[in-house]
Amino acid sequence: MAIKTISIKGTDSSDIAAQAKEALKGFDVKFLLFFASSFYDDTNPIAELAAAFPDSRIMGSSSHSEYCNSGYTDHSVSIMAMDQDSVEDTCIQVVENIDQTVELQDVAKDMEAHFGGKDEIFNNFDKYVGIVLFESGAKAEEIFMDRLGTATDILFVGGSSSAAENNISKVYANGKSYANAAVLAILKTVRGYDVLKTQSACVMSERRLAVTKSDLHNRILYEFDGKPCGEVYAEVLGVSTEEIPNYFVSNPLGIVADGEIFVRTFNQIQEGGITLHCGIPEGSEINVLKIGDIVSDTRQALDNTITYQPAGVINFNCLYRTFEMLNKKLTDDYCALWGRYPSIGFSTGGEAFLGHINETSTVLIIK
Amino acid sequence: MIQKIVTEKSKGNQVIASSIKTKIILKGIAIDKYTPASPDDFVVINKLREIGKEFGIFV
Repeated sequence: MAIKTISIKGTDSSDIAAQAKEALKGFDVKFLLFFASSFYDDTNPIAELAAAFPDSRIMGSSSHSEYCNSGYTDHSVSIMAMDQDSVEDTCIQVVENIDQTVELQDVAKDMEAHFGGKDEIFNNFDKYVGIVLFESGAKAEEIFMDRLGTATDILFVGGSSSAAENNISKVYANGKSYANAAVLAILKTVRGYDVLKTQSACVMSERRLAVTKSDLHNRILYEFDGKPCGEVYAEVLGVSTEEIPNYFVSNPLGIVADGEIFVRTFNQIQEGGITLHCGIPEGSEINVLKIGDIVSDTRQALDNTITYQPAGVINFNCLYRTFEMLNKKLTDDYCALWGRYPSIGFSTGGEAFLGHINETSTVLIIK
Repeated sequence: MIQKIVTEKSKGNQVIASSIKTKIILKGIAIDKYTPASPDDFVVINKLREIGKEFGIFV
């Protein structure tokens, strides 16, 4: 057994760590990834887990709700533990103050050096993969992913923290909790990995809209094709400008890159523009999308990629998608898809793969 | 210019080549609409020079 997945509910973080230690007795945990309901944050889950597994590398995130195998829960902790049969080596680093401009060249260089440098990674590219967890309050993911993608070729998959009722959002590593930070891990896997993303959205209109005025940092969109973006969006949908907020959820925007859709969702209209949950740089071309069927699209994406028995699967699933499935009573059908593998996941405040994405599920499969 | 960045950065690795193309698109260059025959757009050319520099490639 190279990967174990467990879901735990406890009275506090100490109880969680004790239960995890018992469940993983006899299993030599090299790397431990956890998604903990923010309910546990005040009892310091990372410190308790670090004490329970002193020889393991550990990283995690707070969560609104958690997935484990075929289960969906809240107020729980989902844990994936990997031993040396799955992961040969790991390197974890924390980058703080991500709301300020961060340069990641040195971080990437240090992390790559841990494994022997760029050439070793290039020559064994199918073994190395990254995980990135953002504290979502910083709202800096798109800039960070751009810098990270410039600094390293390693594919990073991940998501942004979310929170339960107490609204506490954190990421965890090195025995500590962090706000306004990102946790990066590079894994040298034993048998390799696959990455997929599924966004249950497709192109509604083939008309491409050029972003001619936007504020990337503040995630504000002003103009398409030199005209107010709301007017053009309404024109594409064939509705009046006053009606467009009714379409924000069902018809998000997408950048289509190399056949893949990178979804950008709307937040709200504000004077002169529309705020988004992910900034779009000027010069981009976008399509208006329509939301499809989460369960069937996810099934298709998983079945197309996972044609073998994976050791473990990590699902960074957008919180909006979780809400939509709860509203439509699709959660059991969705979870049944993931119950086919040892898997964990959580409802994310944003997803990461090559860039920052919305209303998507990004998935890391460890072979 | 686009092809030079992708080719030099990926060194023949198709996964990296695909990811570089996507990264360039997410930086705001709609690469699908440009071909070697496209008329020069100096805003885009300068942006590509900057992107190339970030990747350590001079174009």
